[in-house]
Amino acid sequence: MKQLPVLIVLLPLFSALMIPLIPKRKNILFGFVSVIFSTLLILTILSYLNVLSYGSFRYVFGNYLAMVGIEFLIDPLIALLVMFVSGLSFLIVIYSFSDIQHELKEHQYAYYYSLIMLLMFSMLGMLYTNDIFNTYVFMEILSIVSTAIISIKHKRSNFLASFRYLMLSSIGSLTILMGLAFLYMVTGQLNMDSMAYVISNVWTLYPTNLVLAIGFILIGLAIKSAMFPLHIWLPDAHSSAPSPSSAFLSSIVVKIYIVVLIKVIYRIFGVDIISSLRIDDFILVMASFGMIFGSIFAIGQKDIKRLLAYSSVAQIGYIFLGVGLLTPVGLAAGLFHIFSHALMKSALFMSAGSIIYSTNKRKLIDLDGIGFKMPITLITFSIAALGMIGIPGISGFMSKIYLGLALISDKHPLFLSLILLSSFLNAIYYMPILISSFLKEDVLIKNSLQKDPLPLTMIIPMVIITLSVLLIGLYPQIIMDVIELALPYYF
Amino acid sequence: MIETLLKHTNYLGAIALFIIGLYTVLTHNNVLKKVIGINIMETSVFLFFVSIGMIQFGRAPIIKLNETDIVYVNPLPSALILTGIVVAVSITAYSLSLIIQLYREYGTLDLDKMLESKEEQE
Amino acid sequence: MITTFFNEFRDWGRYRRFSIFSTIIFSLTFIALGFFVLYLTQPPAISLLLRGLQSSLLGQFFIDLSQNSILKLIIIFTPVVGSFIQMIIGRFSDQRRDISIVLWTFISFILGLLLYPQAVSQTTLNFKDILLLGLSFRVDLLSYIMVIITTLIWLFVMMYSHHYMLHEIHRNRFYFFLSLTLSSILGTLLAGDLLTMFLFFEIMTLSSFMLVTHGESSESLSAGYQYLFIGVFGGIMILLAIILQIITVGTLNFEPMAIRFEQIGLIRYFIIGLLLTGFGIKAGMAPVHVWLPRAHPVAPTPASALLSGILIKIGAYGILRIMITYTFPENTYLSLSSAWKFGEFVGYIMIWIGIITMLIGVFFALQQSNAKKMLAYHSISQMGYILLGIGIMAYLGKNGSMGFAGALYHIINHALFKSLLFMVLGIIYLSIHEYDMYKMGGLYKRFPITAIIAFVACLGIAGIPLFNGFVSKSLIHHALEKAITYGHPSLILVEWLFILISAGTVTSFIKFFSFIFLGKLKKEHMTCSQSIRIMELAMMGIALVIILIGLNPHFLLDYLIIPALSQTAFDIHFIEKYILTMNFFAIKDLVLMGQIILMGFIFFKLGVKYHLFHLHFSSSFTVERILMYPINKTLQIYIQLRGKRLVDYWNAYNPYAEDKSMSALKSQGFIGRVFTVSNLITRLHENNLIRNDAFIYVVLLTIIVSFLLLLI
Repeated sequence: MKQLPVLIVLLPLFSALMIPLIPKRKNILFGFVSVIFSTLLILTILSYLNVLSYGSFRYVFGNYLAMVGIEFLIDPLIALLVMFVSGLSFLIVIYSFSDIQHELKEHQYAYYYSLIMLLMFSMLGMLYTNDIFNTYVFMEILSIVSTAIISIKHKRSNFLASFRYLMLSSIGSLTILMGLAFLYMVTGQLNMDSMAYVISNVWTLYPTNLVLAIGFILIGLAIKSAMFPLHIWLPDAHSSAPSPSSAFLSSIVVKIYIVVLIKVIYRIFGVDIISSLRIDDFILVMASFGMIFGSIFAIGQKDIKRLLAYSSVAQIGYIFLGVGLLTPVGLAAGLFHIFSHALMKSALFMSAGSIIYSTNKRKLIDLDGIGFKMPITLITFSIAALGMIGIPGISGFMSKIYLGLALISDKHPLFLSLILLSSFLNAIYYMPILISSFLKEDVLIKNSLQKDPLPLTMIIPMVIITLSVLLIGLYPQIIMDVIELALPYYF
Repeated sequence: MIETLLKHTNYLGAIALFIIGLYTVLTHNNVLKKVIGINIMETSVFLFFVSIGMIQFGRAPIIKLNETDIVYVNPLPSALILTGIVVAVSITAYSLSLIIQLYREYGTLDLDKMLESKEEQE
Repeated sequence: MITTFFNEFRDWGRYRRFSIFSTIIFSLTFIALGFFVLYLTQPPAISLLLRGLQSSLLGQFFIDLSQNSILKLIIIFTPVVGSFIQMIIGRFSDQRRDISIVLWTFISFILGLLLYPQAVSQTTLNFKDILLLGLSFRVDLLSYIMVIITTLIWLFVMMYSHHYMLHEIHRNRFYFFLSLTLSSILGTLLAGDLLTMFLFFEIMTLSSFMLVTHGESSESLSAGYQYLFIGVFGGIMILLAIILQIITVGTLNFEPMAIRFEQIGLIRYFIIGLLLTGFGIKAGMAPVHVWLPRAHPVAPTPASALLSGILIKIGAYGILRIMITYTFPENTYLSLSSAWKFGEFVGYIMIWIGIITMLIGVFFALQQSNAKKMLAYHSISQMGYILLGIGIMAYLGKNGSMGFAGALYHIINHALFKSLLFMVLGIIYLSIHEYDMYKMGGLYKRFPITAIIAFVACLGIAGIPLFNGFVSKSLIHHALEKAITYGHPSLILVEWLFILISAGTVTSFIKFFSFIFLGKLKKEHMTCSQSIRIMELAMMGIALVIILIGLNPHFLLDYLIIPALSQTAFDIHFIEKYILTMNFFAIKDLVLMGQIILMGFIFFKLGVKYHLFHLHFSSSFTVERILMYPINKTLQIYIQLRGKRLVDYWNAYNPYAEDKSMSALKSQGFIGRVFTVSNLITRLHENNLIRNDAFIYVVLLTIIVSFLLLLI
C-alpha cells in the first residue's frame, strides 16, 4: 500500500515505452490504452481511500533521508487531485478514440498515445513530489509533451502555435530555474519542508535573494499557467490543437502549474513572508484584470475554440483570485474552482470537438439551429455554459459562492463586484451560442429533434462529465470536505 | 567596489548572459535566433547554478580514503545541471524539428511574416 | 341566442375529445372550489355531509395526503413529470397531448388545494447538505393563496391554449417549457429560504425566456435577449445579496429579523436595495421595467397571459416576502417601537417607487395603438398599485396590515383580469390577425360572448363596484388614508396621483372596449370566423371567479387573507378594528368611485375629440435610454474615436448586428453597444497583444525589479 504512489507514477511511464512495441492495429492500441488507464484509475482510487482512512504519509525513494533524497508527500488534497486527474483523463482518452480518427493520420495514433502516457506520468509526478528540483524536471517533461500534442497535427497553424508555446514555456522554465538557483543559494536544501524551515530562520538576513527568487518563480509559473497578461500563447495553442489535446491542456495541464504555485507559496515560503512582500496584491490585481479582459476578448471572437480558450483565461483569473487571498477560505475556494472548472471546460471542449467532428464547422455564425441536430452535445454545452455563468445547481455557482464568501471575510468587497461583473460578461458571450443553436433555424428545413450522429465513445464521456458537473453542483461537500481536511498542511 | 565585482564575476556574467538571451528571444524575428537565445539563457542559468556550488579553497568532490577534514566543492549543483543540460538539448532538438516544418509550410523564417500570413488566412 | 349558443356546441368536430374532456375538468374544478369554500366556511347545514365525506375512503386518502410534508415536493415535480410525458405523447397526437397537459395541471391544482392544513401549521421540509446550505420548503397562507391562484389560472389558460397553439410551430417545445415554468414558479412560492427561492427563480427566468422567443422572429429574439440579460443581471444582484447576508446575518431563512439586521450597520441598505432591485426587475418596477413592454407583446397569447398574469406577480411575491422578513422584528422585540424604523424608511421609498411605476404605466399606455402593448403597460401600472400597497405596509409598521391585505388582494385580482384580457385579445387575433385598436370596431356582432367577457374584465380592472377590482383598489386607498393620518403629510400628493391614475385607467379601458367592440363593424371583418366555444368556456370560468369575488368580497378577506395576516406580526387590534369590519359598500367609497368614473369619461371624450390619443413621445424617450445614458454615451464616444474603420472590423459574430451600417450603430441598445465595444477592443488590440510579447515581459521584469528596490 505504501508503494502505491510509485506504481501510479511509473505505470504510465512503462506503458509509454511499451506502446511502440505492440502491434500497430487500431483496436489493439485502443484496448491497451484503456486497460492501462483503468488500472491507473483503480490504483488512484485505492490510494485515495487509503489516505482517507489512514491519513497522509510520506514516501522517500530509496530510503534515504528526506533531506537528501526525493520525497513524495501524499496528503488528502493531492490524493483527491490525482484521482480526479486520472478519472478525467480516462474520460478524455475514451473520447479521443473516435475523435483523432478525423484529425490525425493512421500511423500517428501510437505516437499520440505514448505522448498522452508521458503527459500522465509528468502530471502525476509533479503533483506528488515534495522536492523542488524534481518539480522542475517533471515540469520540463510536461512542457515538451504538451507542445508535442499540439504539433502532432500537421497543419500550419499548429506548428506556429506550438513553436511559440515552446519558446514562451522555455522562458518560463528558465526563469523558474533561476529562481530555484536563488533559493538554493540561500538555503542549501531542495526538499520543500526543510527549505521552509531554513527560510523562516534566514529571511531577515538575505531579503534580496528571496525577493528575486519568489519574483522569478512567480513569473515563470504565471507564464506557464496563463495569468493575464502572460496568456498570449494560450489562444493559438488551445484553439488549433486537436480537441482531446485542447481538453487536456485547458482543463488539467494549466491547473497543475497552479498547484505547483500553491506549493511554492504556501509550503516553501509561508503566508507571512508573501504578504509582507505584497506579492498577494500583485496576484490579485493581475487576476482581476484577467477576469475582465479575458471575457472582453472572448466576446469578440468568431471561432468557437478560440472563444473557449479566452474563457479559460478568465476562469484562471478566478482561481488566482482565490489563491492570492492567502487565507484558508480563499485557498479552499480557489482549489474548488480548479475542480469545477476542469470538469466544465473539458465538457465544453468535448462538445465543441463533437460539433467540429460531425459538421466541420468552427465559426459561430455557422452554428444556427445545431441544437436540433445534435441535442446531447448541445445539452452538455448548455449545462457547462450555464455553470460558467452561475446558475445554481451546477458546480460553477458553488465556486462563485465560495469565492464570494472568501472575499468578503477578507474584506475585499471590490473584487466581489468584479466577480459578478465577470459572470455577467460570461453570460454575454455564452448565451448567444445557446440561443442561436436552439432557436434559429435554417430557412428551408424546419428543425426537428434528431439523434446525435456521433459514435458512442464520444457520447458517453460527455454524459458522464455532465452528470458529475451536476452532482458536484448539488453536493459540493464531496470535494470541499477533503480540501478542508488538507488545509493544515499549507498553513 | 571593483573587488566585489571581481569576486563575483560568475554571478554577474550569468545575469548578463540571462538578459542577453532574454532580449534575443523576445526581440529578434528570426526563428533560429530565438532558439539560440533560449540556449544562451539556459547556459547562463547553468553557469549561475554551478558557480553557487563553488566553495573557496575547495577540492574536487572525490573522496579519498584516510583523509578527513577536507573541504570539498558542493557536488549537488553539478548533478542538477547535468539533468538541466539534457533537458536543454531535448528542447533544442524539438524546436529545431519544428523549425524545419515551419519552413516547409510557410517558406520563411521570419516570425512576423508567419503571423501575418496566418491572420490573412482567417 | 341561448339556442344558438348550445347549437354551436354540437359542431365540435375534430376537437371533440379535447372539448369534452375540458368541459369535464371545468366542472370538476368548480366542484373542487365549491368543496374548498364549504370546508373553509363550514356552514352548519352542510357539516354533516362534510363529515360523512371525510370518513369515506377517498376523503381519508385526501386527508392523509394533505398532512404529509412531502406533498410540497410532489407539487413542484408534478408539472416536470407531466412535461416529459406530454413530449412523448406530443409526437403522436396534438389532442391527446393537450388532454394530458390539462389533466396534469388539474392534478397540480387539486394537490395545491390539499396543502391547506400544512399552510395553517407552517411546516418546513428541509434537505440538508444539498447545495452547501441545504434546501428548505415551507408553505404558509401567503404562499398558499398564490399557489391556488397560479394553478387555477394556469388551468384555464391551458384549456384555452389548445386551439390557439394549433396555429404555431414547435408546440411540443412550447408546452415543455411552459410546464417547466409552472414547476419553477411553484418552487419559488414554496421556498422556505432565500437560496431555494433563488434556485427556482433562475430556472424560471431561463424557461420563460424560451416562451418569449418562441416565435423566432427577429423582434422576438431581440426582446428575448433583453429579457434574458436583464433577468440574469437581476439574478446576479440577488446572488450578491445572498452572499452578503450569509456573512453578516448568517441565516437565509424567512423568519423576521429586523433587530439582527439593524446590528449590521449601513450594509443593510445595500442588501435591501439589491434584493428589491433583483426581484423588482421581475415585477416590472420602475425604472427596471424596460423589458416588459417589449417581451409581453411578442410572446404567443397563452404565454403572454401567463407572463403578465403570473410571472410578474412572483416578483411582487418576492418583494412582499422580503419586506415581511427584513422589516418585522423578532417575536421577543414586538413591543419595541423603534424596531419598525427600518421598515418606515424602506416603505417610504417603496411608496414613491410604486406611484411612479403607476404613472409611467398609465402614461405610456394611453399612447399606444397596439392593444397588446397597451395591456403590457397596464400591467406595469397595476404592479405599481401592488408596490404602493407593499410600501404602505412597511411604512405603517405594525399597523400596516391594510397595505398587506390590499396588495395581496390586488395580486389575486390582477392575475385574474389581466390574463382574461390577454385571452380576449388572443381570440380576436385568431380571427382577424390584427392587434391595432384603431383598425377594429363593432366586433360585438361577431363575438358576442367574448364581448360580454371583455366587458366584465374591463369593469374589473377599472374598479367598478360589484367587481373585484373595486375591492382591492378601495383597500389600498383606505391604507393610503391611514398612511396620511399616521405618517408624513407629503403623502397627500400620492393620493391625488392615485385618483388621477385610477381615472386614467378607466379612460384607457373605455378606449379599449369601445374601439374594439363598439362602433361600426369594418367591411373586411364582416365575414371573419367566429370564436371557438371551448376557449370561451375557459374565459367564462375566470370571469365567473371575478364576478363571485366582486359580489362577496369578504369571503377572501375573512377566510384567507386575515388568517395570513395573523401568521405575521401585525397588530391584531388594528386588524380587528379596521379590516374585519370593513364595509366595502360604504357611501364614501362609492362616491369617490363615481367621481373617478366621471373623470375617466371626461378624459375619454376629450381624448377622442382632440385626438389626444395620437400624441406620442419620440421613440428615443424610453426609460432605457435615460437610465443608461452615461454608459451609452461613453461607449459611443469610444467607438467614434477608435472606430473610423469600424466597417472593416464589423464582421465579428454579433447577434445584434442585423443591419451593419453606421446609422444602425447610433441607435443601438445597451447590450448591442457592449458587443460592439468588445469587438472593437478585440480587433484592435488582440493581435498586437499576441505579437508584442517583448513589451509585456519587459513590463513584468520591471515590476519585479521595483519590488526588489523597495526592499533595499
